[in-house]
Amino acid sequence: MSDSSNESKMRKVYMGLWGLSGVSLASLIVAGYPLAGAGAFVLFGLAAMVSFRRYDGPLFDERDERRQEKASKRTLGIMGLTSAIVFPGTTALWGLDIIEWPVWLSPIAFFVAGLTFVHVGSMMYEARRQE
Amino acid sequence: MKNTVRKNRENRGITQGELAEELDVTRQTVNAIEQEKYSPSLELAIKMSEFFEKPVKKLFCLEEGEV
Repeated sequence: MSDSSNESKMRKVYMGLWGLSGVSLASLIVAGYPLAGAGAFVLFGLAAMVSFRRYDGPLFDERDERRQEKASKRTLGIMGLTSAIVFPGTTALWGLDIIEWPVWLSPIAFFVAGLTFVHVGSMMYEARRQE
Repeated sequence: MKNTVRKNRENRGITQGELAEELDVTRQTVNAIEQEKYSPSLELAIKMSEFFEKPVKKLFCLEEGEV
């Protein structure tokens, strides 16, 4: 097997193992085995880290970082736009007594607020670091 | 951004994998740069410039509209 196909295979193995860890955690929690879920998450995560460590050469580099930056920016943009429509819209409809405030929306609102807080904090930290 | 990385690498007689190893990046990144699908960071461009012993401007140039 050539080096390049090995690199590609190892990247898939690494990402696949992390994917498996997340899926097994979620599915075992839903199935009623939270401890087994946590154990599976740790095991697959460790396997991913071992495969990463044992690979001779870089598996990820600046191109992956750039990709992640772009994806994060897009995700935050979509989330920001959605929040800017959904939350004020729902609040207005609630204020007009057209709908009841959906109970499930509150934790999402708190999550978005928390994420925004972390994002702004992170931006301030970067600005400070670059001064 | 256009570049002459493939030409320079072939002149050196090395594979993408070997160049990737020299630059401490993945082979896929070297391939993406050669296909002009990815513009490297300033750090990587300088590393390439040092490796090929050529100024960055000889390796990379902006296309019309990118200026």
